Parts: sequence; C-alpha cells; structure tokens
Amino acid sequence: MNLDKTKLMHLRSHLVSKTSHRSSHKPVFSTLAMLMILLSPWTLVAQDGPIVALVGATVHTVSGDDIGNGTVLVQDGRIIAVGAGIETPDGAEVVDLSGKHLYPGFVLSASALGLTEIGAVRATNDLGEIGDNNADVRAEVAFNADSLLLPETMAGGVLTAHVSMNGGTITGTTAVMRLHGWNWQDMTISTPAGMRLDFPSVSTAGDDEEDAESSSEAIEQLDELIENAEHYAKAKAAGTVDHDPKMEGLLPLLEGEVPLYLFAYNKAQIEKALDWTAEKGLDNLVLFTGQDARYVAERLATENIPVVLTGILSLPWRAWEGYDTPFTTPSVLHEAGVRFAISDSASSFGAMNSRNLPFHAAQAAAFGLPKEIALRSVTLSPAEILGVADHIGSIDVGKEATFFVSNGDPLEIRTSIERVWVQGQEVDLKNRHQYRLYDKYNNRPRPAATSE
Amino acid sequence: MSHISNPRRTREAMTRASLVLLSGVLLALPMQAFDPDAWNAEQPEQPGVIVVRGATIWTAADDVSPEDAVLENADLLIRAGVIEAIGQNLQVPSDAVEIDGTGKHVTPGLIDAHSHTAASGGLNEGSNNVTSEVRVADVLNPEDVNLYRQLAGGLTIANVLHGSANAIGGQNAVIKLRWGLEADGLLMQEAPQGIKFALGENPKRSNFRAPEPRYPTTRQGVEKSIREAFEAAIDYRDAHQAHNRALKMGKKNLVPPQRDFQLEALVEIMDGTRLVHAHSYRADEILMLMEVAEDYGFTVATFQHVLEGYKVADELAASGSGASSFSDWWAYKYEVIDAIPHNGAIMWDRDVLVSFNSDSGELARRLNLEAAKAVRWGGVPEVEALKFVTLNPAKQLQIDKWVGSLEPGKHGDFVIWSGHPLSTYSRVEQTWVDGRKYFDRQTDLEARETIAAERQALLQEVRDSGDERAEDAEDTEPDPEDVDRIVDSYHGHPHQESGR
Amino acid sequence: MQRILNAVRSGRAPALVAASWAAAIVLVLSTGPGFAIEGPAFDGKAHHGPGAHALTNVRIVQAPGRVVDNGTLVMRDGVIVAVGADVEAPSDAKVWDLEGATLYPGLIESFATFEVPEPEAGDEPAAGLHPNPLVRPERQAAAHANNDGLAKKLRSAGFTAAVLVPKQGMFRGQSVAVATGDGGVGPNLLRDRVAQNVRFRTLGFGAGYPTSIMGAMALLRQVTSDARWHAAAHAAHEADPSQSRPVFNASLAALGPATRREQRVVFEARDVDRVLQIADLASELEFDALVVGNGDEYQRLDEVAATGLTFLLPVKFPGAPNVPEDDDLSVGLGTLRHWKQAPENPLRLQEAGVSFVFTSHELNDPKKIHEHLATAIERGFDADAALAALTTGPAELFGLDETLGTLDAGKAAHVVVTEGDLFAEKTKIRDVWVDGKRFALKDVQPPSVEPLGTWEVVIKAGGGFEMPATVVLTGSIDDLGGSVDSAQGTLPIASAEVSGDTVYVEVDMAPSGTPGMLTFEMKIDGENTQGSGTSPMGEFTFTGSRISKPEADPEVIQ
Repeated sequence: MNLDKTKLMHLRSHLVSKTSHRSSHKPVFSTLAMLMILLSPWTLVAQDGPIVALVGATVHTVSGDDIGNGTVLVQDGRIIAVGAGIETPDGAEVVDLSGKHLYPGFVLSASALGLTEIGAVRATNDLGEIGDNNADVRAEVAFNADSLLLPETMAGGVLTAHVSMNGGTITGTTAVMRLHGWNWQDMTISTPAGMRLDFPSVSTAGDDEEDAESSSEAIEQLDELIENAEHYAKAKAAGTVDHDPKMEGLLPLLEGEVPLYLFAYNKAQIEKALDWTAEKGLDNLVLFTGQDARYVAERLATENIPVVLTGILSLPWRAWEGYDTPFTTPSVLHEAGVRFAISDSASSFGAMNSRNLPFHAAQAAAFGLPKEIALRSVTLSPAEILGVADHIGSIDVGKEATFFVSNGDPLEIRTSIERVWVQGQEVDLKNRHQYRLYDKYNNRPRPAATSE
Repeated sequence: MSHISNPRRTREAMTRASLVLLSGVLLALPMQAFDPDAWNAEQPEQPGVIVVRGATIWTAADDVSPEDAVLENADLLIRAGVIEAIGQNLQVPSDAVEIDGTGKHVTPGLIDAHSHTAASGGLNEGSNNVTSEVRVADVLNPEDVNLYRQLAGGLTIANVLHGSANAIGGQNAVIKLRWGLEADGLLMQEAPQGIKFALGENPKRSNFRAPEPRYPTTRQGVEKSIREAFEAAIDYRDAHQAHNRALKMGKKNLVPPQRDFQLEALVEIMDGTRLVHAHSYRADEILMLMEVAEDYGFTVATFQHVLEGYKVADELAASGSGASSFSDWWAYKYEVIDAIPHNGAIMWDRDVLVSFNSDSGELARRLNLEAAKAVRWGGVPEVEALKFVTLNPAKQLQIDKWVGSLEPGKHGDFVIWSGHPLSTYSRVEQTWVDGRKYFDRQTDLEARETIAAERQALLQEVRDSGDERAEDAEDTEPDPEDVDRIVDSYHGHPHQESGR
Repeated sequence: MQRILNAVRSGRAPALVAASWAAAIVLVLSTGPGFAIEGPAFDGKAHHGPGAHALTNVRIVQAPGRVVDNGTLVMRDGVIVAVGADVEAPSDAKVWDLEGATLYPGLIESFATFEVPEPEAGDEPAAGLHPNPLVRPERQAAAHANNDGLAKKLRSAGFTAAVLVPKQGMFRGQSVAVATGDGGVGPNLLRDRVAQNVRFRTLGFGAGYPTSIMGAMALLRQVTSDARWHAAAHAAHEADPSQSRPVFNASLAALGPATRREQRVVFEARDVDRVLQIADLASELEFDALVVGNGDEYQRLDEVAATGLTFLLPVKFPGAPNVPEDDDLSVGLGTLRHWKQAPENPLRLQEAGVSFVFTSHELNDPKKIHEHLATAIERGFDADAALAALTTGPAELFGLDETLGTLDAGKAAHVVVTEGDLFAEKTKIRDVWVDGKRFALKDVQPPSVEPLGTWEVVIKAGGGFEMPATVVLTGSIDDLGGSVDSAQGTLPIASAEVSGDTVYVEVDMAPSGTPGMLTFEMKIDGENTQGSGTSPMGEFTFTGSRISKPEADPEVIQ
C-alpha cells in the first residue's frame, strides 16, 4: 500500500480542482478503494486525523448495491472505507446509525444559491452582469458562505450546488460548491466547472417577423463573438494583439478545456443550439434544458450529449401536450439512453426551493422513471456530468464524506433528513435561521385556559 | 344566464366526425376524456349509482377515532352525485358503476383555498387601493387548460382570488373544476361570497414601480385605508337605512341615495355575509387586521399565506380566523424572510384551522404533496395533514357542509390514488366531481394519442391546402383588449415565477 | 379647371370660357337617353345626380330568393319606382344596358367603427360629464361622421348604408345609420342614435381605472346603476323640489334611454367566453343587447343559442397558420382547429337557431367580406341567407326596412351592380348606386407605370373648348398626393391611385365653394398621357406630357 499516495489524496482534497473535467469522468479511486478494503484499513490511515465510524445504517452507495447494517469510515474529510462487517478502528469515534439510512448528499446541478438571498431585494442579488460576453466573470467569487439559504438547503439533504450567473449570452464561468464551509474558496469543489451560454431565443413558426429578426440577429452576434475570439487566439499567438480579458476568457472554451454549459429550452432552440455547437466544434458540452428535451432525445443519445433538466415540477408548455409531460421527460430520456441529471432552475426563485430537489426526482419516479435512476439523477449522475464524481455523488472510498442520514427513503416527503455531513464535518441542523424560529415559537408559552 | 347542464355535444361530435371524414383525414374522434380545448371536451355522465370496492378510504372526517380515519378494504357508494354510504360490502343495484379499488387509496377531492386559475383579463384591479366592486366571477375563463391539469392532480375545488395589489381587492369565486362547462357552470353555487384583502409589501407597492405613487406606501397606511373604507361603508349603510325608514313612513318622491357597489361589498363584510380572505405575511399586520375586524364586527375568514402565522398562532386561534398557507415557500421577498416550513404544524398544534394552498397553477396539481410537508416539518399526523387540503379549506370557505370529506350527504367529489395519497410515488388515477368522472388516467393516455394524431393531420392539411387566406391575418386589427386567454404555443420563459 | 368652374359660379370668368362650358353642358343634357350607348366617353363616367335611370337587360336579385332573370329597374330622384321583367324604361330616363350584370340590393354594414376626435390628454373632463374618460355614452357618432373616406371604403365593398360607431372608449357613445354617399352626414343620415355601444377596455398600469377586464365590468355595472339613479333622483326632485337638488351629469343622462330599453346596447365581444359573460351582464343590467361576435361562437353553440341574443357577426376566418415542414411545436391545436372550423361558424349558428347579421368589422378591407362569405357558402352556408344577413336582416334589425334591404318600388335606390355572383373569391362590383347616384368602381391592377412628376395637359370639352392645366403627382406609388394647378389657382389632390397604366385622381372641389368631386383618369404611356374626367359641370378629355420627374431621393440611393 502506498501511503504517500493516500496522503497526496488528502492534500488534494483541500485543493480546488483546477483541471477541467470531462463530463464522462469515471471515479478514479475505485481501484484504490478496492485495495484499501481488502487490506486492513485502520493500519493504513491511523497516522492521519481521527477516524469517525458510522455504523449500523443501511448504506445507499448509489454507485453499487445497498449495504445493510453497513459501516462507513471517515477520515480527514474523506470516506476511507465502506462495507458490511468492517471493524471499527481503535480510537475511532463511533456514530450509531442503527435503523437509519445513509445516502450521498443530493447534488443540485443548476442553482443560484449563494449568489442570491431574496429575489425581490435587488441588493441581495449577484446573478447577472451587464454585457453580452461575461466570459471573464467567475460565479463563485460572490458566493455568500453565510447565506441563510444554505443551511435550509442542507436540511433537505442537498449538500452540493453547481452555481452559475445569467447575465448576457456568455454569462460567465460556473462552479461546483459545497454548501458548508468557511468561505467561498474552501467551499469550491470545481472551477471553472463550465462556461455558461444562454443560447439566444430561436424564432418559431408562431412568431412574428420582428421576433424572427431579433432572434437571427442575436445568433449572428454570437457567431461574431466566437469568430472574434478565434481571431484573437491567432493574433495572440502572433503577438499582435493587446490583452483582452473578455476574449481571453473565451479561449479555454474554444480549446475545449472548459466544457460548454449550454442553456436552451424549447425544441427549436435546442436543435438550433446543437447545430450551432457542432458547427463551431464545441463538442465538450452539457445541455441545460427542460421538458422539450424529450423531443430531441434520440439526437442527444446519438451525439452523447449529457443533459441537466432544470426542473420537473412545472407545467406543460403547450395545451395539447399531456398533463404529465414534464414529469415523464426523464423517463423518455432514460429509455433513449441519454445521460441526465435532475435539478431545479438556476433562478432566484429556485434558490429558496432548493431543498425540494429530491421531490423533482420523485415526481419523475411516480411517472415511469425507475426509482434507482431517480435517486442517481440527483446524486451520482450530476456529479459525473459536472465532472466532480471523484469528489462526490456516491458513497465510495476516496470520495468526500458528504452524505446525510434519514429515517427512510429521502425521495419521500414524509421522510426526515436527520443528520448531515459535509466533507466529514457534521452540520448542526439546529443552527439555522428557520429552525431557530421554529424552536422559539414552538416553545412560546401557551395562553392560560380561559373559562368563558 | 343559467348554466346549461350538458346533454349536448352528440350532434356536434357527429358533425366533427363527418367533417374529418369529408376532408379525407381518416381519424376516429371518439368521446374524449381529455381535450385541450374545454369547448370540445365531453361532459362526463353522472351514473345513477357508483361504488368503489375494496379500497383504502381516507374519509378526512372530523371526530372519528384514529382507526376509523383510514378504512381498509372499504366501499364508497355514490348515488345521484351524492355520497350515500361508506362501509363494507355495500349493496348496489345491478346497473351501478363498480370500480375495483383493490390496492387503491381514496380521498376526498382536494381543495385549493388560493388559486388564480381560470380567469381572464387580469386578476389585479391595481388602479385603486380599494376595489371591492370588482368580481372574479365576471371573468371566469373555462378554457384554462390548467383546470384539467389540476383535476389530474386530484383537485376538485378552487378559490379563485383577486390579486394582492390593493388593501381591499375584489370579490372571489369558488369554483368546481367541471372541465368543459362554460364559466357559469364552474361556479360552486353553494359557496358563500368572499373578498380579497391584502397587507404588506404588495398593497404598499414595495416591489412595483408605477408612474404615480399610490397611497398607501406603508403598513400603517394600509391599516388607515382599510379603516377609512369601513367608515365610508358605515355612512353609506346609514344613508340607505334612513332612506328606507323614510319610505316605510310613507314619504314620497324622495331623492334616493346612490347605490355604490364598492361600499355595498364592505357592508356585506360587516353584516357577516361576505368572507374576508386576507393576503398577509408578517405577524404585525396579521394582528392589525384582527383588531380592525374586531372593531368593525367581523372575523377574517382566512389569512392567506400567513407565513408568520406561527408567531401569532394563539391569537389566530382565539380569533377564529383560518390560516391558508404555503407549505414551505420563503425568502422570495423581504417580508417572508421569517417564513418557516413548520408554520402549518405550529399553527395546527395550537388549534388554528390550517390549510395549505397553491397560489400557482402548477402547484395546485400536487397539493397532496404539500400536505405531506406538514408531516415532514413538524410531524403533523398524516390524517390531519390530509385535512390541510380537504376538510380544512372547505371549512375556511364555509362549504364543508357539502364537500371536504367523504361522509354521507356530501357531494361525490373524490380521488382514486394509485397508492398512499401522501406518497411522492403515488399518482391520481381518477378524479370525480359531483359523481362525474372528470379525469381518468387510462383514458387520458389513450386520448392524448388521438389528440396528437389530430394535430399532425391538421398540420398536414394546412401544408396541403395552400391556403391563401394566410395573408388575411395581417388584415385584421390587433385587439387592444387586455385578455390573457391561454396561449398554447411556447414563446419564452422556461419557468413562470409568481409575484406573490 | 377648378378655376374655371369657380369662375363660372362667381361670374368672374371670361365670357368666352363661360360660354364654352355652357355649351358643353347643354350638349350633355340635350343628347337624350340614346347618347350613352353611342359615346363611350359618356358611358360610366358621368357623375349623375338624381334623375331618372333605367338599369335594363340585367339579372335582378330583388331580395334573397327573389330573382328576376332579365328585367329592368327604374329609379327616379333616388327612389326605386319600378322593378321587374316587364318594366319599360321611361322616356326621360337614362338607360343603362347592363347585359351580363346582376343587381343586388345595397348592402348594409351593421358595425363600422371610426375614430372620433378625443379631447387632448390632460384636459379636464367637460363639466357635467363622467370623470372616467372611458365613459362617454353622450358621444354622438352623428356629430363626427362626416367621413367621405370611410363612406368610399364601405361603398367599394357594396355597402350603401352603414351604422357608424365611435371606436374609442368603453361606453363608446351612440351610433348613427347613414347612407354611404358623399357629402357627409347631412344628405346621408338614415337614423340617429341607433344604439349605445360598449366594449370592455382597460387602461395601462398606472394610467387609471380600470386596469383589468373585471374592473371594466364593475365600471359598467356602477355606471349603469348610476344612470338609473340619475333618472330616478331627478324625477323625484322634479316631483318635490323642496329637497336638495341632485347633481346633473350629462353622461349618465345620455344612458337613460339604454337603461329604459328604449335604445339598444351593442357589446363587442373578443371571444365566445366573453359573449357569455356579456349575456350574463346584459341580462343582469336589463339591457336590450346586441353582440358583435368574434367568429368562434361555434365552440359554445348551445350556450350561445340559449342566450337568445342577436349577433353582428364578423366574417373573418383565420388564415392558415405558418406551418414548417419539420414540426417545431409552436402551432397549437387550438389554432389549427379554429382555422379548420371557423368558416363553418355561420352555418353552425344558423343550424342552432341563432339570429345574426354579418359585418365586415375587423376586416381592414371590407371588400374581403365577399371572399370570406364565398368560403362560408362553399362550406354549406346558404347564399340567400348570406345576402339576407347583409340586406334585409340589418334593415329590419335597425328599423331601416321601409327604405332599405330589397329592390322594390318605393325603396331607396341602393343598388349593387356586379359581374357574376356577389360572393366570390374575386367579386367584381362594377357600380354602386346610393340614393340614385352612381359610383363607378375601379378594378385595381398592380401599377405598371411610374407616374410621379409634373404633367402639363390641355383639357378639351364640348364645343371646342380648350384650356391648359398642370397635374403634380408627388409621394410614392403606394401613397400618391399632389395638386391640380392652373394659372389662377391650385387644389390639392384628395386621392390618387394607380391601377395598371392609369392613375385615378380625385379632387375635392369643396374648398373652392363648389360641392362635389372632380375625378379624372390619366392613362400613362412613357412620358405622355391622355385621359378623361368628370366634374359636376360636365365631362372632358385631355392630353399632355411630363415636363419633370422628382429628383432621386438620396435616402433611397443609399
């Protein structure tokens, strides 16, 4: 066993992953993890920080089978062992979770958390910068570590969020954030996770001429932006151009180092956007979209384009569509073989609703998506699609100890999320705004019974 | 006009069928359970007798022991649209419609105490701070396809409210989701009249910009304007009473006082014949309106949203006002920063009559799951949580004599679920209103294929027609009337967010 | 030429000129009935005032279902005096041989809206009027309906009479029924204060009350109640003046007849759901209501029939939606269904027993009504019923049936002369007679010439009379303007239209003091022109050439 490698791993866990991630990332530690389980784990890791042993829960790994009466060992923020019948190391702090269920934290794959506090209060929003090209703007630098929304979101088992801004066409680089930490730097898992592009609206047969014109103009402007960036790259190589941060910001996207996070919604817009990316050779991409993904499922599967569905709990867009169109879209994608994650919208309104993420997945399950796929669509699938599956998304050795414990199926609303860990730190679920108010007023003295 | 109960359509349906045949499009257009156009939807029959056999029945009735609240393997019998019995092995005539309820759950039809579905032409008369003269019932839009979508979520009744732009808004309409009938047919005739009030940021226009500022701009001003309106209503009532007394005394040729529909509605509030549904968030404004109501001799029927209701739960309970809340929304504007998901549970625990509403055409499709949040946050027992979206809103709207629970004598409004009604994995299989089946998932699934085929056939027909009248579209003048009929094409925003 | 005509009137013209014109007129009048057949220059160009005319050798649709295959219609001084197969033309009548043509009764437009002048924004409402600017029941269409342009537009579609309705407001005011002859309301008024008119309107956010349709309905309810109160209060005060005098409000007073069902109230509906809402309101407020429909009434047929309302039914069928080969989902089923079914709306309403008349309302070009009706007829609607819904139907509805609606002796001489069926995809209306005056209609072709510039012409009339004039055509081919000019004066061109190689010009002579129109046709061949025209004084021909073209517009070059 190579201890240096383990230490290196720990070191890495404290660093922000700066490398770009392929969206089809495979967990890199699986072989290592197998080895660690085969050997006696405590001998390996005793030289590092204290070990916490979570014992007795049914462990829902998501990546593999559920483990009844399982044990999860955590050290230095990472999972170092998972399994049934694992001995608890000497000196380990033991957490008895008998009768409970342990799940990887839910991953919100499109979010405005931390960048907005109260939608209607303008001063609390850092969501959209002015200008068409904000390639040089980073979402995470205004991520408010003490946003009141974060603890409430964690109380719902949602422990990671992919945050992005929405100003202009190129809205800026995005980041995958832990929801617990001291500041935005130590909460960042990955940046730049991607470059968000809100594709211009595309005119349809139902539009009037004016709409059609402004739509094609917007696409032309986008074309021009990309051409300018390509030209900038050549001129830069030739040393004949001054530094331009906005152009500079686009280069990693053009070189495929940073994936394109393409936001496009209705069928015509999605198709146009996909044609456009193909034309520009932007093949490292994720499509963030909604219910119309069902109409392009085959193409998405063929072209192996992963999808983030930004909300399942929404109305059909057209009167003649089935009432459950948004609910069944995930199962349509699943059956077509499209890789997808389920999210809520990356809007201010979506932010306050973040804790309800699992119920989007549950609704899909009620309408045909296999339950295990529904669970995966809010845990491991988004981690893979966002390129952070080496950190989070499942209960596997080497991953961050970011999980929650519940008294049942967390896709059921009646189930309670009881305890939460982020990167090995347990989060105090009572130390949050809403719980404090609950506690205060629940204990308000009741009025004396009056006899009338 | 009175609503036309509907033994119609057969002839129309035949005309349609023959039309389609004539045009060479070989489409069978049978009686459709789902049609995206209400005018084209068939009215379901009302069978003489219906019995659901062997289901798990959640009666949502009050004053029953916990073991009787959820009846296993039980039958529900509806006769002529009215519940006749709930029990086991109920006897029915041979022509009764029998529904196998094995493995299914049955609940009362869900009731949404705060809806803006099925209205046209704007639900905010935002011009004046008092608009008690406007009536939602005047502008009900039966073509709103969300009516059908909400039926598909088990909803049977909605309280369609005026918006919250003014301290005293307009008159609401309680509707039954009788998809396909015209506007008057939607009205629940038994429901008492009501009116919308609004407190806080919306009436003081905190988050809106108008060319001219409008009084009031503070919560204090909101109180003042409500009191002023009631003072004017008292003067109005007095003037009419004096006139009527004079007439009784035989006076002739008196110049009569003018009738004022705005003040008349306020007099009705003071007379107790018009229910007040008050949009409210903060504890202070809830207490304020309770005081105002006391001073003018009425009780607020419901505080709507009432997201700080948990802070004044005891006061609410003492006043007898109901609380119709969101389950867990918060932080979308400053006045809801202290909203908590335990709101319903705390108020329920302190004997407030609590319901959960939607205020959203989308959320109204899954109010059962909103009720489940009362279990999640604060541990309300499931049977009681279900009442948050059935019996309790019925009581708040004072229609519990007819609806809200499955008890003999009440309307045959019920939902058949594929599983536990508070489970995220359950689906609505059938929704019945007045003993008529307005939603059936099975026939819906079949009908939507027909619908899709019809659309494709018509698209093709347009392509084949070479219709030159296309140009005429430009010949017609745009209609300046501000009416938002349902637009069934998608033009933009992925998510519709509400301006609560 | 205007100058000359003025001169004739004023007596200031040179004696020679006056004498020449007098000779020309004498010539015209003395030629007798046979002359028109011989001289095409006089056929169809004269602006005939009332007099005796015989329209002969023609198919006559006297009324829906009542047809004379070949007969004669005689009118005298604007009134039909005889019609039938065996009718002889009187000796003093001008005879029009209309072989191959068909006569129809003049059509009646039931609902033609037009903008009336509004007070300037910010003006205080006039004392004694309702404070809400949308409430103008006292507004009289008759006071603002001097609108020859509107009359011409309607006439060109075969409408010889129309109910004119103020376009603005919610309580829009009272309509007037007029004939569509020229000269404004004075000579054309048929019936005043035909109906009160209501349309639900809103004001923009922040602009006042109401901002919602339900607010508009509440306003309707309150104003109606106030009008009833106004009448009762003033009656009570009159009976016992020893009380405080109630306020007077001219708007509320003007609603009195409508609240007493002495005047109809016409509601405009924007869809069938609104129709049913209006039915409820009209019944609640006890109005004698008519409803302007929207063409989607078939969607709620039984309910619409149950209202018992009579409809003014726009004949406006939607054009085919734009449908791409690859379905982009943007065309809704509702849109497609309406496209498919709307042409059957009249038929379905008729079968359901709903009474209605047709209106060209909502068609920017009223001529389109014939094409749309042809479609409805193709889809099963009865052609006679269509004619009735534009003639006898509205005549009866508006109490005009003693004088209008059919071609019978004793009725006003309102006649449409067509080539072929009235309801056809390309209906050809040759002439329209309004109160015995003939208006010839042009068949407009796409322009084949560029007419802009200054043309010098020499006018010739009977008796060897000649005089020079200048015609200046400015603007663009779609929007021609200019003037007719001679040494002694200039008159602006009222309208000028190009059809094929010919420019049709109209000049209103009223500014010079002579009532009537000067009209002429300029046939253009390169830089040369020739043509003919009429004035109230007589007919003339001219020839000439272009002396200058407008300079190229620099913006166009760019």
